[in-house]
Amino acid sequence: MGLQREQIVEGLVEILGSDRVITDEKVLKESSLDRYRKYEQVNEIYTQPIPAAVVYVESTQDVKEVLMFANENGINVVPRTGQSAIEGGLETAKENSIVVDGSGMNKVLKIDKYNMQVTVECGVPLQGLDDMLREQGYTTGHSPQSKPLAQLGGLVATRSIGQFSTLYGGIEDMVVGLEAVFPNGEVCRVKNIPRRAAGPDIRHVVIGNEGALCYITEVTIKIFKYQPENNVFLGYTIDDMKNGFDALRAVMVEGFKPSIARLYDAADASLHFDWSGDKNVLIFMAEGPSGITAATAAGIDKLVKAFPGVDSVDPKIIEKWFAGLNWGPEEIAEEKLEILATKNIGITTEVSGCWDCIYEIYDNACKRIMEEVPDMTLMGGHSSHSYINGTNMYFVYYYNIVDCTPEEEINKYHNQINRIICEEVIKYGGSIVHHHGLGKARAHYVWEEYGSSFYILDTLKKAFDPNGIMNMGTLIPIKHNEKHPWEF
Amino acid sequence: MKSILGSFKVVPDLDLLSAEDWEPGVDHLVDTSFVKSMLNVFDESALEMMLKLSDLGESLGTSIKLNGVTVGNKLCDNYLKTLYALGFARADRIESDDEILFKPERTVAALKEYIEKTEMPDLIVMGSKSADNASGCVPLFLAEELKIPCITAVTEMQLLEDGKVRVTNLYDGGIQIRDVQGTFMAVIGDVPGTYLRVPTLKERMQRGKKEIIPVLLETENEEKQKLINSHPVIEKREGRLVSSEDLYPFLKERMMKL
Repeated sequence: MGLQREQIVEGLVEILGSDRVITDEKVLKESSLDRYRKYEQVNEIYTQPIPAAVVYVESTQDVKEVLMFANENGINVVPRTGQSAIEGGLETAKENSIVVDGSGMNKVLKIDKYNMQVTVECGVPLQGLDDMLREQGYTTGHSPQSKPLAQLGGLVATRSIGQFSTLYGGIEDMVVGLEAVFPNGEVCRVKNIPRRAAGPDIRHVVIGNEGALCYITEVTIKIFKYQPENNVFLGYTIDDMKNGFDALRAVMVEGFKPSIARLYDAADASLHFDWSGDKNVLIFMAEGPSGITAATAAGIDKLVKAFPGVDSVDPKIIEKWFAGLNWGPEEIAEEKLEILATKNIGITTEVSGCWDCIYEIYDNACKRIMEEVPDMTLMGGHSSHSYINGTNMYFVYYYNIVDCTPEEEINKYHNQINRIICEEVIKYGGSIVHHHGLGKARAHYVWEEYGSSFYILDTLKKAFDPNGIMNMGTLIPIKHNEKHPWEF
Repeated sequence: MKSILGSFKVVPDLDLLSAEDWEPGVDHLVDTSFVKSMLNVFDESALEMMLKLSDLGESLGTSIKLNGVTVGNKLCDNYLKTLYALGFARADRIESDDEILFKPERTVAALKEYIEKTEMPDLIVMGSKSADNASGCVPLFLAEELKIPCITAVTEMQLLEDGKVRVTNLYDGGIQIRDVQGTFMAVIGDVPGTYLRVPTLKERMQRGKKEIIPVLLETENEEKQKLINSHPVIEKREGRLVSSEDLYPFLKERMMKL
């Protein structure tokens, strides 16, 4: 027999004191979901089990004691920092969960300019950290659209990626060391080194664990010289989307390293630009020392212009547009009003695939969604992170919510669209998740995503979280409808 | 009520400008050429209000023809196609490549000529002002030119069974509600939380593909006003820091002035 709700709260108050254990009903309800259930969220309808408490931890010791308490009593724990999750990772899927908020652990512990690394606690906001570094001539090189909201612990936990990834890499390329607490109270530190070959890279047990294995309390990431005066922007329209993917591929294969390499289809471009009309849009930015940026821009320009149906765009337009791309609390508040007034909602799903299938994934998924899902008002997407062997596809879609309640919306629309995207990606051998994390929604496709390697994930979960208390339902679903996996 | 004409303006989304972009450039204007456009928010409320009146008309068994018009260049065509997709019978663009900022009389003349050439609607709906030119003159001047009554700061309109329109507007610090019959101009004020509904892709395919053929008018665009300068209005309280030693002499000086 597990602890009752009141006993859980009492136990937490004993560990942290009453000030840091929040049981306010509104806070608890708002903490039961994330932006995956955006329509429920804006309508303030809460369908997920309400947590017993939200607790604010301030040290590794706090985290350790809370996790041990939860582990001994079989209580589900949902770790969080900046709360910018959009794939259900913050949903409290089990009754009487504890939401462990690390946003109070917000100290920058060490800026090591000689070794080019910075060590921070998990609740350090990325925007604040990067602004501070830029003032000193450095940058994290990490700039996701959620930058105004996200904090370092969550970014590492979800294998985040930033808009300059083609040059700096994803968060997994930036993390050099970290500290994490496991459910049994074990505190593990992975030391900060440039590289090592001492067995498996155990950083990757922690990076991307989505709070399902451990709680990240501290991270050390690389820093880079910040030289915005050398930035060069390039913009083009391109008639054919397939040629657009080929142009991106050519840039990567020929060895260029732009910090931004993006391809928008016409529908997605129409959300950002007036001038694109029915054309697709290619965007690049070269960053770094001036000699390199000039050569990179000149090389990419020559390469792209060789493709058919390409026209150049004034680079100033691209530069100015890019400066206003991030999302913060103001945009979210405005979006809420708009959704409530119009019952029109916009959502994204990001996937990846090799060059030989990414166009088919994009094209088939868009066609199927427009045919199979009712009330669509926009269907498109863009590629924003490219690699030598492939790229990502960031599907962007809007739909009107017609004849259904906020509770019904998720199964009528959002899950159906996700299903089609996942089916198409799996059919072509891509990955159903590029950088938002599996969360709880796409976790229902974890077996198809992992194939035979699911054994490794399953074993990790059983080994590090034998009592099943770490963010249950994330990575691996608690309940799964085999016949209709998209209904939950 | 048989037809409503909504006049709207496409403006740059000024929220996308950064602080350093707010620098007067050529002709003392801020360069907004690189930011995305948007429907002027007051006009967006106006267009949605038209659709709601049409919905109400349908429920009362009355079919109301909705027409939309704007003055501008090709940039406006996507917005006009959206109106077609939403069921507007007609959506026109009066061709204007010229800069019409700060020249309300030119817009008024163009709209008057357009109405005379097409049809006089039962109701004209316009936003009270636009983000890039808050003169607020166009609807008032146009109503005067057309010799029709004009109600300002409208926040709500309802169609009544007898064909009248119940208009709610802000008036002298209060709210005024009246039932209006006959042709009039409704100038839509600040209606927070109103957005134009979004047509589905199917509606766009069915109705929104119509080619926009710009309307060319003969209106003499004589320039009566020319912008010669612009500067920010500094709004701050008049105040002066006074140390404790200076306080008594300061108060005494003020008293003497009174």
